[in-house]
Amino acid sequence: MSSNVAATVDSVRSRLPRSEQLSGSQKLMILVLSMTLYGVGDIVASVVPEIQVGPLELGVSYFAFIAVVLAALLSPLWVALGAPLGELVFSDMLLGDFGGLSELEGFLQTALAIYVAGCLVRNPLNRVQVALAPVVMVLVDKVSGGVVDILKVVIGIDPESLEEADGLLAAFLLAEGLDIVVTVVFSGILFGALPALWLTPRLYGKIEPIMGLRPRDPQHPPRLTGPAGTRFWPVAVLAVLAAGAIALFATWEEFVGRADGLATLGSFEPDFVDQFGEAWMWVAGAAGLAVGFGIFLLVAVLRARRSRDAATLTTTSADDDEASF
Amino acid sequence: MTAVAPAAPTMATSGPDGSTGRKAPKATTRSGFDRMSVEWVKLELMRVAYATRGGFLARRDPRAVLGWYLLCAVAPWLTYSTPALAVFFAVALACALAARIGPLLLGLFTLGLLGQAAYVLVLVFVLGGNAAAIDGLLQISLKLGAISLASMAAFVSLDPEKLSDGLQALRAPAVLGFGVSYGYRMVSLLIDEFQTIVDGHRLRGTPPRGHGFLGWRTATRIGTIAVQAFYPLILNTAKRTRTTVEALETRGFAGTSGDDQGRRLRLAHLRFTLADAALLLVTLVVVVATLVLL
Amino acid sequence: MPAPTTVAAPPPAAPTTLVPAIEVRGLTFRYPGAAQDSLHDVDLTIEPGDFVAVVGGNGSGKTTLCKAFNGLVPHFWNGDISGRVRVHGRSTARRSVGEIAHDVGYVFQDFGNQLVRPTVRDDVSFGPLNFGHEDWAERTDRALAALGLASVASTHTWQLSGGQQHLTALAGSLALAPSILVVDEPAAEVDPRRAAVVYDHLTRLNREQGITVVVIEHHAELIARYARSVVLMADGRVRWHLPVREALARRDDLADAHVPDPQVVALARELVPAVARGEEPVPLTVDECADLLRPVAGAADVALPPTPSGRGPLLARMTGVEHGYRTVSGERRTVLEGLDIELHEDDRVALVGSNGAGKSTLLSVLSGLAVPRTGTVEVDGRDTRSVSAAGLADTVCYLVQRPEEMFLQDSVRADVGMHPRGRGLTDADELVDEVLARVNLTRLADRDGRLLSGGQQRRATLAIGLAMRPRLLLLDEPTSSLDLSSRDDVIAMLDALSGHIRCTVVATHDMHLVAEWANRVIVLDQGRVLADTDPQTLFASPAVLETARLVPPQVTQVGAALGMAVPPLSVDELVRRLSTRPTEEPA
Repeated sequence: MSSNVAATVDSVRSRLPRSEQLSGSQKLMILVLSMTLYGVGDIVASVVPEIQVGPLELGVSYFAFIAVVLAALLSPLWVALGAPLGELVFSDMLLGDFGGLSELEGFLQTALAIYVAGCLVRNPLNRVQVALAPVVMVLVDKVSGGVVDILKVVIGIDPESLEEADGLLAAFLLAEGLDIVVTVVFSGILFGALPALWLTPRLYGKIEPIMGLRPRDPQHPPRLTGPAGTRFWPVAVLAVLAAGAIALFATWEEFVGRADGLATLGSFEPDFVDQFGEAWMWVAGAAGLAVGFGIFLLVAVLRARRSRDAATLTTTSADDDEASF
Repeated sequence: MTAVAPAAPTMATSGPDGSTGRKAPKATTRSGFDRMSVEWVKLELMRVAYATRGGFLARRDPRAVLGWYLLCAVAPWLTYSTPALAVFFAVALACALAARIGPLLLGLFTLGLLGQAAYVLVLVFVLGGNAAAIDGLLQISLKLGAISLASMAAFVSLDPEKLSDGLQALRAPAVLGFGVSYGYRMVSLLIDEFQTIVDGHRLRGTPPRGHGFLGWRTATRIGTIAVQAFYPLILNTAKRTRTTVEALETRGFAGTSGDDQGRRLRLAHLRFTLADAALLLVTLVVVVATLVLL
Repeated sequence: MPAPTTVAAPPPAAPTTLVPAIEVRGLTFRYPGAAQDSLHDVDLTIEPGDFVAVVGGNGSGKTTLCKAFNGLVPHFWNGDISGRVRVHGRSTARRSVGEIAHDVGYVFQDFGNQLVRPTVRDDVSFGPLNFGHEDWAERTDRALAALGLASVASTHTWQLSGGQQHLTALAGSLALAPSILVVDEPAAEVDPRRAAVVYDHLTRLNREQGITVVVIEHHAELIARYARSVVLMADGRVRWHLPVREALARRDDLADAHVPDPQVVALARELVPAVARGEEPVPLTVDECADLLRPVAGAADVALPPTPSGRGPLLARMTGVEHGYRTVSGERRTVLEGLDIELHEDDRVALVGSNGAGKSTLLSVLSGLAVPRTGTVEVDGRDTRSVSAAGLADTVCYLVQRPEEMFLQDSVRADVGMHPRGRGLTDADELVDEVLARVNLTRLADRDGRLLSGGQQRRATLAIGLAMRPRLLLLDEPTSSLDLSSRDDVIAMLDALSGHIRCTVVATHDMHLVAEWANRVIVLDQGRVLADTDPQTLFASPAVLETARLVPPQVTQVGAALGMAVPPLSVDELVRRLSTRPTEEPA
C-alpha cells in the first residue's frame, strides 16, 4: 500500500516545478484550510463527552491529528499559523468563549507546537515520524502551557510569602503534570498518533494536487527555520523548549518516582524544596520561549507582508498592454 | 488555558451521534428530537455568536471595550494585597452582571473556579501546606477570577464582527478579520457536512455490538467515526478552500497585505465618543485608587 | 516567447476603433503537473456587448480559458504559458488579478464558496472595500439594486436559497463595475427556473448596460434562449465561434461536446424535413417550434393510453407526519405538516416542489435518520421509532445530494463495500464486483470517488446504494449539476435498476427526469402534498405547476401549444403520436 502511494506521489512530484517557494495565495490557501479544519475539529472535540475529575478532564482537549496531518503534508509554518487561528475564531469567538489575552498565549503555544511537530515529519510515509509528531505537539503545547500557568501562579502570589507557599506550588505542579499525562494519552495518542497514522498516508499525494501544491519530498524536508535569514530565533526557541521539556520531565519523573503511592505523598516534601530552585530556571526559560516565538512570528508575518507588497507593486507602461506571457 | 473553561461543557451532553440511546441495538423508542442534538449544537453556536444581550459595554466602541478589558486584565497583576484583589473581583463581577453575561456562563464560571480551588486546596493539605498557602490560593483565585470575569464581560458584549473591527482598528492582521467572517460562513456549512458524513458512517458502517464494559465499545465507535469522518472532510474542504482563495484574489483580498485605504473605509463607521473616553477614564481612576489606597 | 513588436495586420472587418472585449492570441497553457496542455494555441475574439456561451465536454479547457480572461491563469494557477490575452486592448500578463477584476467579473461554478462575509451587503461590499473605493457604499447599493437583492441585503448568506446565493456572488463581482462578466455554469447547482432568473438578469445587464457576458453552459435550451454566439471548445482548442442559430445547427459537433439538441430542435429535425436538411433555421423557443410543427400536427392527435402505474403491495406508510426545526431566533419552523403518504412496490416516485418545500426533510424522515415530531412512519412493517437508523439501513437506502459526502473511503470499491462488509456478508466481494460492473465503474474502482467526473460520481453513489440491497431507495437530486448526457446516463441507470429495488423515491427539480422516468409524482408545497398523481396529469394541471413553480420539459410545452390534451413526455412520444396519426385516422 505505502509503496503504491509513494509511486503516485513521486509521479505527481516529478511533474511539478521544483520551486520550494510558496506563492502568496498558496500560503493563504493553506492558512484558510488549516484554520477551517482545525476550527471544526475543535468544535467536534468539544462535543465529544468527557469525564471531569476536578480540573482534570479525561477526554479530548483537541484533535491534534488534524493539525499534525496538515502540517506533515503542507507547509508547517502556515498550518501552524492557521490552526490556532481556527481555534480562536471558530470555537472561541463563535462560541463566545473568547479569553482575551490568554488566547494570545494559547495561540503562541499551539503554533509553536504544530510547527515543531510538522517539521519533525520529514517523510509522511514514515510511520515512526508520523506517530511521534502528535505526541511531540501535545508535549510542546502542554509543557509551554503548563509553564505559563505555573508562572501565573508564581507571579500571582506575593513573592514574600512565596517561600511559605511551596506546598501550593507543588500542588500546581502536580496538577499540571497529571494534566500533561492525561492529555498526551488522550489527545496525543488516541486522537493524535493513531488517527495520524491512518490519515497521513491516505491524504499524501491526494490533497496537494487539489490545491496545486507539491507533495513533500523526503529528500528536501522543511527545516525548522524561519523565512530567509531568520534562523536564529527558531533555533533558540527549540533550545529553550528542549530545556523546558527536559526540566519538566525531570521534575515530573521525580514526582512519580517518589510518589508511587498517594499515601507516601507527604514524605517527599523536603526534597521538593531543593528542587524548587531548578524549577525557577525553566520557568524563566519558558517565558523567554513565549516572547521569542512571538517575535519570530511577528518577523515572519512582517517579512511576508513586505515581500508581498513589493510583488504587487506594478508599473504600468505602454508595452505592458502588449505583453505576452 | 486558564482554570476556567465556561462554554465547552454546555455541549458535552450530546455525542455527534445524537443521543447515546440511539446506538443501542435494542433501543425501543426514539423521541422526535434525538437527531436534533446536532442541530441544536449548531443553533446554539450561531445563537451565542449573535446574541448580544445589550448591557453597558455593547453600545461602546470596540476599541474602548478592548482598552477597558486590557485595564481590567492587567490591574490585578500589579498588587499582592488581598483586599485590593477583592475589590477588583467585586468590580469585575459587577461589570460582568451589568454586561448581562447570562446565568449559564456565570454559573459555569463559578463552578469552575470553586472546583479548581477545592481541588488545589485538597492537594495543599495532602502536601502539608499551611495558612500562607491558603492566602496565596485565595489571591490567585481572586486574580484569575477577576480577569476571567472582565474578559467575559468584554467579549460577550462584542459580536465577532465588532471584535474583528476593533482588532483591525488596533492594527491586528487583516487575516484575523477575514477569519472571523469566513468562520461565520463556514461553520454551519461544515458542521452540516460533518453531520452528513457521520450519518453515512452510522448507516453504512459496522453496526454497534452493544455498549461494552463501561461503554467502551460505544466510546470507541464514536471516536473512530469522528476521526474517519475527517478524511472526506479534509479533501472536500481543500476543494472549497481553493475556490475561496481564488475568489479572494479577484476580490482584492490578499491575506497578509493590509491595504490602508481599504482598512480606513472599512473602519470609517467606528466612532470613539466622549462616553467611550469616560468609560476608560473612570476605570483607570478606580484601578489607580484601589492600587494606591489598599 | 518573443514579444510582439507590432500588430501584424489590422483586422479587416473593424474599420473603427472598436477594441475587442477579449482577444486571445496563440494561448497555450499547461497546469503544473499535468501531462498535456489544457489550452493549446487558442485564438478567440469576443466583441464588446456580446453574449457568449462557451460549450465543450469535460476537460475541454473551457474553465481554464475563462480563468485566463481574468488573469487567474496564470497569476493564480502558475503553469507553462505562452501567447497573449488582452482585455479591452490591455494585456493581462503584467496586471494583477485584482486589477483585472475591475474589467472582468467572475462567478465560480461552486459560487457558494465565493461568499466570505456574513451578510449579503457585507459580502457585496467586500471587493470595493478591499480595493479602497471611496464610493463603496454606492457601488454596493447599485449592485444590489441591479440584481433585485435590496430586500435581502441584511440577510445572512447561509440563509439564502441557492439562486439568491448565486445572485449575491454575481453582485459581488458587479460591485467592481466590470464591463465583462464571466459566469461558470449558472445552471449547475440551481434548478432550471432559478437559473432562468440569473439568465434574465444577465440579459438585462447585457442589453441595458452593454456588459459583455460569457457563460460556460451545457444546457442547450438556455443557450438557445439567451446566448448570441457560441464558442465550442474541444481538446484545449477553440473549434469554432458562431452565431447561436448556426451553432445549434451543428448537431454532431455539439453532441461530441456533450451538448445534445434542445428538445425543440430535436422535434423540428424529426418532424420538419426542411430543418433536418438544414434548409430552414432551427427553432430556438417553444413558440417557434410550435409554429413550425402546427402544419404537421393538424387538428388532433391520438392520446396514447397512459402507462398503468404499478400498485404493488404496500412498502412504506407515513401517517400524520409533522416535522420541523428551530430557527436561530428561537421559533419553531414546521417543514412537514400532516403528511399521509403510502408507497407501494413498483412505485417510481418523483418528489417535486420548490426549494424549502420539505423534500429533503421528507427523505430523511423516511430513511429513519430523523424521527417525526408527531405521526408515524412505517417502513416494511416497522415503525421507524422502534428501529435504529442503522438497523433500518438494511431496508432503506438514502443517497444524499452531494456525492462527495457519500465518499467516506479512499476508493470507490471501499465505499461500495462498506455496508456489505460492515454487516459481515460472506459474499461481499462478489457483490461489490457485480455492482461495480453494473454501473460500469470496474475500471475506476480503485480511484477516490472525489476524483471522478460528475457523471461517474453519481454512478458511484448509485453503486453504494445498490450494494446495500435496499427495498426502498431514496435519492436526493441525482441529476443536479450533471451535463445532459451524464444525466441521461443516470436516468437510464435508474430505469435499469427497477428490477432490483422495490420502490424508488427521487427528490428532484429535473422535469426531464420526472417525465422520462417517474410513474408517480408527489408535489410538495410548504410541507403539504399539493398533488399526488402521474406525470401526464401533473403537466396538464397549470394551477399545480404554477403554485409549485415547476416548468415542464419543452416537449410537453410544445404539446400544450399544439393543443394536445394529454401532454407528451418525451420527444420520441410526441414524434410517434404526430407521425402515427394519419395512419390511424381511417380506423
